[in-house]
Order: sequence, then structure tokens, then C-alpha cells
Amino acid sequence: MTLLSLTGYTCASAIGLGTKDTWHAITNSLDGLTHCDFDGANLDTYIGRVSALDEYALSRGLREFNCRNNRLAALTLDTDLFSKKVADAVAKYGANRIAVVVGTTSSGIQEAEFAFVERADEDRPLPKGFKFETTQAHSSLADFVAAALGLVGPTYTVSTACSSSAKVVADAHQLIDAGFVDAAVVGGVDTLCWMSLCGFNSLQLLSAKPCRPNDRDRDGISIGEAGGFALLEKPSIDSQICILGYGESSDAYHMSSPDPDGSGAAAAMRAALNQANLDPDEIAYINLHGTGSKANDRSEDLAINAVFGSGQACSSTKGWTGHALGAAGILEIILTAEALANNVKPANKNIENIDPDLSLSVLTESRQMEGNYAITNSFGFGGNNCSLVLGKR
Amino acid sequence: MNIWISGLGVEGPGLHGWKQARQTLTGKAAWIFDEPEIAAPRILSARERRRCSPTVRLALRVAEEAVEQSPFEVSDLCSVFANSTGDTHVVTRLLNQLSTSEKLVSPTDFHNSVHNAPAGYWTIGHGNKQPTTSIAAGRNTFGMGLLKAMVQVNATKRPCLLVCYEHPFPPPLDATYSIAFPMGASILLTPQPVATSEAKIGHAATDTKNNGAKLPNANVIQELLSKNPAADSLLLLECVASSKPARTSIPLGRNTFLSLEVTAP
Repeated sequence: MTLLSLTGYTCASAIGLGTKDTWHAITNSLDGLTHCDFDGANLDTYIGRVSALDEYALSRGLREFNCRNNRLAALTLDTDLFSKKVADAVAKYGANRIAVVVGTTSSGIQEAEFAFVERADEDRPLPKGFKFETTQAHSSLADFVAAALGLVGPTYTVSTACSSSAKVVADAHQLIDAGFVDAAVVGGVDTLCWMSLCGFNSLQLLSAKPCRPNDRDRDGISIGEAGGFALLEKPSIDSQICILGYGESSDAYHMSSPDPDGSGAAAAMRAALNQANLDPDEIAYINLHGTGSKANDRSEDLAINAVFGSGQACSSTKGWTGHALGAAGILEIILTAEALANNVKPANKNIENIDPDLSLSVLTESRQMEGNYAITNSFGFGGNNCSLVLGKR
Repeated sequence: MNIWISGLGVEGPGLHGWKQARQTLTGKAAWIFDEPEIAAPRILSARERRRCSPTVRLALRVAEEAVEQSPFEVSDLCSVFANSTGDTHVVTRLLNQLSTSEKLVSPTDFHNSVHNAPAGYWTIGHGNKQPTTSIAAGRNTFGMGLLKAMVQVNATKRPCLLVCYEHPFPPPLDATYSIAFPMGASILLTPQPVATSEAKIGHAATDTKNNGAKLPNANVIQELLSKNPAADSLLLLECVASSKPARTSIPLGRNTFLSLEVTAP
């Protein structure tokens, strides 16, 4: 059953601004990741950086929200005519009948990072210009998106680490299903900051090379900033791409390592398939969480093998974009939607030797997609899993 | 949409557990402003108990109380964690570490800095593999958390535990966002009445006006409301405590309220 119609979407990441550029970069194997040149983070790693952000400023009325994360949100909303599509939805439903549910892990914490550096010593107050609520707070992203789009429906941020902007789809469905709203702007943004770069470095999870998900010699992730938004509406026959199911679960295993047997991830995929009323063999393609860490890719492989058997066609697109953390979910929803719309299963970048211990059929080149259904996986710290089934009419 | 309130937990100034808070909220017991002292949650390992932050303690304390009498296995419950700020004790340590030129951060602090850390500890502690989410909506975090939990129960027909918790910031961030005292509340929402149900929520709708009834014991609540976002929970808890049908309005935003009718189960 169709739960929601995906009537508009947009994304921005290191490989492109807008869906068209992004899809072109992936199908033409362009590079997105570069060696880390992020000010103040002297790390031997690769990053996905949105260089257009350096020149970008918020419009005058929204300056109180000024931080790197909200600037990327604004830049993303400005592409693919997304703001125009939302304006059309406002005309149709009313500004109070559209929810804003967006995901982020670190929001505008960069402003706090700068503020802590600026004060002379630890006993001094923070500089006066620092505004917690409109920058560092998680809710800053949701409040900014609502303000930028003129929406006054229910507005909140989901922050479940790297599954944040996948889970927002469940929120949209539940709010619409209960009749509180007719549509929802969902999405997510996470931007480069010291917290993420140095934090993942402290966990020894950063690769010194561009990340190589599913490669035999993979040795960690590459962090990439990204933003993405989608307009979800009650099912309509005009829309080509739909959300058919969502599945959420917890690992109940560890704060920062996935359950090695993948049972939580498998439960999320089963729940999503069940809600979509589809059999595993009807899924033509899985967009993997596929971070490039040893542990993630191994446990995700076991999870998929448990649900689909061996040989399921899959790829991780993080070799292009890097791991966008709280924005990874929405970015990969959009790439999965593009895969369905274009009948192409995108390749998994940066593979020299597929890990022989994996049972997946990892796509080392883009292939024609036959079939109308695909899954995208997102897993986060705290053992927080979300799988979504997308379909095409 | 009808949803039942089938378990409650609360900790705040002069409000220590639902049993005592019910007396205070109905004026049967005097309200004495004192801050809660919260023991480390027993579901954590000894090592985690020693290290766990005040925010995690508060969240798990109120979560535990709401499910103490629950007719459901705690490991089968879905959950929604609502908090406006994240764990600012952990984040402040990280920000201090990041303000040095070396920027060496503690890996444990880093994984505990995620907004969903209390949810993670809850699911790990109870071996709970059900869906859990963590949301933030500034001063409207309780109202949005309640809305999310209600629409989830409505869509899934499964019970859901809502946990809302807000702890004061350590310096220097305390100057930037005011939370005057620790406060948390937790509500077990069920799609049908069960043995522990205390109230039914019906006629839920968003409204541009505050339709809430005048609160008989409004002085306690008014004193707390603007000083901690989790205190908005008292607008609902007061109705449950009074055991009389009442309408309440929980703030969702500027000129937006979640209007609810609270009746006997």
C-alpha cells in the first residue's frame, strides 16, 4: 500500500548541488571526496565538502539562524525549485497543514565551537553574539526550515544520530495518518564541524583514504556534509515515487558499535517489507548504510543475508558523498528515488576487491534496474535502525 | 483518536514520583520547592552507573517510574524521548576539549554526546529492540513529543513510552538558555485501556487559541512552566491528577496549541 507520495525533493552534497548534478556525478563516476582541509582540523582523512557554502549567506530576515548548518539548509532549499513546490503545497493545504520534521546530529554546534575558542579562558562567559537556541540547539534546523518556508504546522527535529533523517518519514506518515496535517517537509542537514571530525577520529573510525564501503581492505569512514529535503503528501496518483513502508528497530547492543549479528538491522528491513506488503525477492536494489567501517559493513551484510538470502543487488553511495551522518538518511532516500526514476542501480564507488566474506552482490558498476521497489538503510549510534521501502508506479 | 494514559512518572522541584505529585497537584499536599536528587539508574552496568551524566539519570529515572506497574514487558515498548538541548554536560566537556589546539576528545564523551544517548541506554539496559526516537523542539519539546507519541500509537496500535527530560546547563552555556532546575516526566500511552490506565485522551486537535481550563492548583504549575520546557507536562498531569473531565492546551509553537480532552479511562 502506498503510504505517502514523494512529490518533490532536493539535495546538496560534495558531489553536486541539486538532484540532477548529484545523479549525473554518480552515474559518471565523478569524485566528491577531497583530503581534509577543514580549518582547525588537522586530520589525515578525506571529507565531502560543499564548497558553494563558503560564499553563501542567509537572507536578512533569517540572520538570527546564521550557522554553517542552516546555511546549507538554505542552499539546499534554494535548489531544484523546492521552495516553489512547498509554496504550491501551502496554496493547496495551508501553512498550518504542513509539518516540518527534519534530522540532524550536530545542528549548528560549530557556532559553539567558535564561541568556546573566542573566550579568553575557561572562567570567562561566551561572547555575546552566540545564540544557543537559533544555532546550536537541535531544534534550530526545524525552526529555520519552517521560517524559511513560511510553515506553521507541527515543527520538530529528530536526532537519532545517523538514522535521523530516515526516521522523519515515519513521523510524516503518522502525523498525516492521524489527520493533523496533509503534507510534511522532511529532510536533514549535517555539516562539517570539529565535533564530528575529531569525535569520529577519537573512535578511530576515520579512513586515511576516500572511504571504500564493502572493499576487502576498507578501514573507516569519510565524513561528508549534506542537506536534503523532500515533500511528502497523502498518496496521489500523479506522483511517480512513493513511500511504501518504514521499519524501525533498536540493536540494544552498544552505544557506538552495531550488533555484530545484524539482527536489529534485519528486524528494521523485515518491518518495512511487511508494511509495504512485499516479499524480499520483489526488492530490485538496496541502498546500503554502507559506511566503510569494518563492523558496519559486515553486520549489514549479515542482516541482508538473513532477510534476502545471498546475492541481493546492493550498493553504498557513501564513496561519492561521504557519510553525511544525520543527513545520510534523506540523501540516500533521494538517491534511491532517482535510481527508481532512472531505472539505474548506482555503483558502489572505490572498490578494488569486494570483501570475499560478504554475501551481497555489490554493484561495482551502475546497472539497469528491473523492478519497481527498492530499500534504503540507515543505522545510527545508540543502535538506532531505520529501513524504508520506496516504490515506483 | 482515543489514547489512554497507562503509566506516569515525574521528577521536579517538590514533585518526586507520581504518587506524591498527584497529591501536590490537587492541593492535598503542600508544595515545597526542593530539587530532586536522582540515584543512578539500576538498569545500567556498574561502570556506566558511575559515569552516567545527570541528564541520563533524570531521563531513565522518570522512564522507569512510568513502567513500574506496566502490564507490558518493558522490552516490548516503543519509546519517544523528548529533550530540547541534548546532554549539555557531555557537550560542554567536548567543547572545552575542542577549544584547545590539539582538539583531542574523549571517545566515550563523543558517543554519549548524541541526542539519543538516553534512548540508547534505555534500550540497551532493558534489552529492548523496539523502535525508539529522540526529538527536540525548543520550548515546545514536551508538546511535540506528546504529539509524536500519540500519532505513533494511533498509527501502530502499539503502546509507546514518552519520556521528556530537561536538565540545567553547566557554565558557560547556562547563560545562553535558561533551565532553572532539573525536571522530567514520562507517560505510557496505550491504544486501549489496560489495568493501569488512569485517563483517556480524546478530541486531540491543534488550535490557535489556548482552550485549557483554569487550573485549580495553578500556582505550582505557573511557578514552574516558564523555567523548564518539561514543566509543560504538568498541564496534562494536573488534569489526570484531578480525576475530573478537563480540557487542556499544550503549547506547540507561537499561537499553536495541542488541545486535548482528558477524561476517566
